Amino acid sequence: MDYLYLSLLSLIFAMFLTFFIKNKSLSGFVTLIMTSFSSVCLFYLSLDIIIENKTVEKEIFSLKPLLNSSLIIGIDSLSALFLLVISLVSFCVTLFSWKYLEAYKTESPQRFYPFLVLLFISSIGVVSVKDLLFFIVFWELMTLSSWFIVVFEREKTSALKGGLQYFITAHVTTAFLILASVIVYSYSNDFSFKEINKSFLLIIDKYPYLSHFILFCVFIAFVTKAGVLPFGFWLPNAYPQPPSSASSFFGGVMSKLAVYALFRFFSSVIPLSYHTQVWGFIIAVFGVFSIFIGTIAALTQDEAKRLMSFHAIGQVGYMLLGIGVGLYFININPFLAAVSLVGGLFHVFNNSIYKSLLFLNAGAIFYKTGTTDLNKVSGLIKVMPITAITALVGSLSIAGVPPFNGFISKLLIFESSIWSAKQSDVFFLIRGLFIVFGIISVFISAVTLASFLKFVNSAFMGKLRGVINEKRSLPWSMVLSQIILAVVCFITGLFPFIPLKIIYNATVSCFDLLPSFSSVFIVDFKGVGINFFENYSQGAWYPIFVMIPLILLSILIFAFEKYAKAPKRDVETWYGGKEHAPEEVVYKGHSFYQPFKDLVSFRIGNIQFKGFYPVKIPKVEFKIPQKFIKIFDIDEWFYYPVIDRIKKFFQFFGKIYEILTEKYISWLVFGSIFVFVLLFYIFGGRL
Amino acid sequence: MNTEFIILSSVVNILIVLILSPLFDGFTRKIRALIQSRVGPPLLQSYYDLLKLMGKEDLKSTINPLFRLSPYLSVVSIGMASLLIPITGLCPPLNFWGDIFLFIYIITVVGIAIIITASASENPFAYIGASRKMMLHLSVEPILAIALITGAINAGSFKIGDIVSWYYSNGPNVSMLLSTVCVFLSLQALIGKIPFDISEAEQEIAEGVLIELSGPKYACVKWANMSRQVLFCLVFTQIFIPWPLSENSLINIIISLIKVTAIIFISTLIESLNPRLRIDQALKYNLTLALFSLTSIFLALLGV
Repeated sequence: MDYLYLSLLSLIFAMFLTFFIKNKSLSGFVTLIMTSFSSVCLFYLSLDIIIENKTVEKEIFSLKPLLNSSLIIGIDSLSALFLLVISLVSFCVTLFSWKYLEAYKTESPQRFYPFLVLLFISSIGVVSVKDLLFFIVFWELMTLSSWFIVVFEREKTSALKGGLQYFITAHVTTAFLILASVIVYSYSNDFSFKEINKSFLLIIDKYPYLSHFILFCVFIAFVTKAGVLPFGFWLPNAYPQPPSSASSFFGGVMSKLAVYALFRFFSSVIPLSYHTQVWGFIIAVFGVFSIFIGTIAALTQDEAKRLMSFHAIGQVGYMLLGIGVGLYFININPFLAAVSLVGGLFHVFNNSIYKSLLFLNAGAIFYKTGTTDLNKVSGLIKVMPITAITALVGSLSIAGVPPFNGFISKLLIFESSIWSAKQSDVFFLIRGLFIVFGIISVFISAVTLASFLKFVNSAFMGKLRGVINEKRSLPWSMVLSQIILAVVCFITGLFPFIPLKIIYNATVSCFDLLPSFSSVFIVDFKGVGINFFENYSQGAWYPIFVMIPLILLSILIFAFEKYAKAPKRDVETWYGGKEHAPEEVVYKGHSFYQPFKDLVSFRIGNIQFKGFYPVKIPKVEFKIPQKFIKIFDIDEWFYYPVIDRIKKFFQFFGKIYEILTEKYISWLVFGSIFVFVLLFYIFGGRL
Repeated sequence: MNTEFIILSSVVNILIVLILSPLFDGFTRKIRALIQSRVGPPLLQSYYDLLKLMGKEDLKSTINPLFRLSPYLSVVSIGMASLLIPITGLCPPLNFWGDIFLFIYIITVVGIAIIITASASENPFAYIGASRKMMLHLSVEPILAIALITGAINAGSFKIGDIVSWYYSNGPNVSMLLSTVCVFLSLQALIGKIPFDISEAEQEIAEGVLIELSGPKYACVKWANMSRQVLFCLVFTQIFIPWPLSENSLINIIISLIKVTAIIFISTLIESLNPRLRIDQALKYNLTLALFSLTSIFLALLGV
């Protein structure tokens, strides 16, 4: 626990210090030192918790007389998993941005580092608090600090536009979260997760519709932040705007914290019930929707960071699919649910590593060329070979190619969604739907590969183009941070048992009815085995055994080529016999997959869809019928007419006083006669 | 499953897929020649070609290191994929949990290797070929995946070995037959022969992905393409038509060789009698087929 304070203290110190430093390099160095110190602390803390499989909980201060809420820091295995990721990614991000910010000539680091560090602090806060009120506080802090980073380049209109969209969307959905928390508080009378868990059973029992509404609010809030379509429309506009190191933290950690929050709410805040099953299905449906649309839309993008932002949407879909299937089956078949939930969380872990890596690669391209447009750069492997190799590793990981780390988590998600075919007590159509989900995700992982091969091929392969300054080599710090993440990708792919154990503990710490680790997974250093049912083995995945024949065969063939001793000669590229300058015949990134893009692009009304995604989000124009507005305009149809009548009425009486005195007298005479007659009539003439 | 069996059957698989593939290629060349009323090259011509190419001059159009490495990866990954197909019996040498997905991914790696070779060569023709190859792969992969998943649902296991033994003992049912037909219809696209050799179209883009390759690299990619033909024919014959089968593994090998020869004969007939499709036609054909083959999943769910 002290380590958490230490790391937070160093981060806060770094935040205040960087407010006053104008020198980019110095500011970056201070941040780097402080963040690496805090990363080490966090790493140690989370490892300690993971290894001993314990839960640390401490109340820091309380708002008791005012509100039943207190800042409870509680770190269980799930939080520790995310702290691990945060410590790794934040270290790499600061290491990268130290030299990287020099690519931005006019901007001051005072508008970057403090907010980046604040983002680290708030994300640590989000994963470690156990109180809804303070959760919202940190959540909001995260949104605000990330917004400041999005609008880092003040002069760019796209940054301001994207930032505005992000700001509004995030706050509207936070309002949903606040609404949900207020409703919950009115029943539980306490903001801590434990108390809410207890009283939520009562809400589900008594007011099932209200509890659905609460879950809806929670769902909307987190899903929007995670960027799930159709709520994540802001994401491709906002994520590419900040410097790449910050985008890498956004894509790698921030959008995954939304998945964490969703998982946390549906596991430990809200008790397991029929509602969990319903919302599990909904989560899975939205997940598949964003897998499909997000990734196919990514195929049509020509800007590296925008392409990756669309992939952030698609990859979040995989996680939600895993988590959704797990929540759906948790009461029906805990074995299947365990595999699926672990698959979802494992994908969160893997994704945060390779997604940060890929954004860093895009940053390196920007540093070297000043642009991330894939149509303008190519052949960069000649000037930055390590970035090219790490980008290839990241691309293969995100596509799930064995033996990199995306493979096993995707495998778990595919298999658990397809395995639902064997649950005979689930409705037939739902089983069919889950299988279709699985097939869509298999298909989409090929699409992912296609779009990342496009990225690698057009940015790194081909003739060298677009480099600003060939002498400026990539600083070692930027290279090192990419290498670290690529190595983590490779090692977790080759030895999946290390993260698998951690993640299983994290899952079990939230759901206690899941079976024990040894009954679901069989692990040793070679690989991972799996059981979908009790005492029913499905075999095992041995990455090392797959690697051995691969390596042996490649050595064999390579040796053969060496033995054959074919003479080598350097030649010019052959353009079919004609003389062309390389610029004339260049194959731009835009040209990749053009027939496929045409196949998935269409037009509905005024909106052009490119890869099932609208190119321009249409302006929403409400045309309410005139009569409908009139109903609300009470002044128009009620107040003014009535007032007019009354006015006229009194004006009419007012006229009486304006008329001459004679008439006045005659009025008196007539009136007295009238009164006289009246009296005469009433008393029947007996005066 | 003992180590002896694993070693023996992996040797057999690699032998058939990698070493015998030039022989099968010579066979196809002979048939094509017969159809076009030529004498044609001798049966072993493809071996001579490969050996000759191995010693030929290696022209480097780029300093890109990936250009040098990835042709070998394509051959190696085909050899790797061959270990997942049962030839000597009902069980393949490598039998992992979820190896249908592993198989799909390893096939992908073959494509990746060739695509990276092509795009590293810096030639715009090769880029066009790479883009087309990826699109073809994208459209044809779901068909194979759906067929294998249909088998997985029927057999209740994700292992290729279990699927084959279930299919062998429980006979053909409607869903598996449907997926067999779908795989057969996409076989030319999987192999990458006419009408689907769009990425290597000679007349149109000057062999596309292969344009800058020469010497040993060209030999490797050519070898990989030959082996791919045998590999996918083996996938079709061994997984989707497992009969007949005997106890003796030697007889099984002979049976599978006969089946593969028959399938290669049919595919060569298709190849030499058809024109090449355009890429958009091929995409539409494959994606329609993929959507159609989804029905086999629902049939499998119904248990027929």
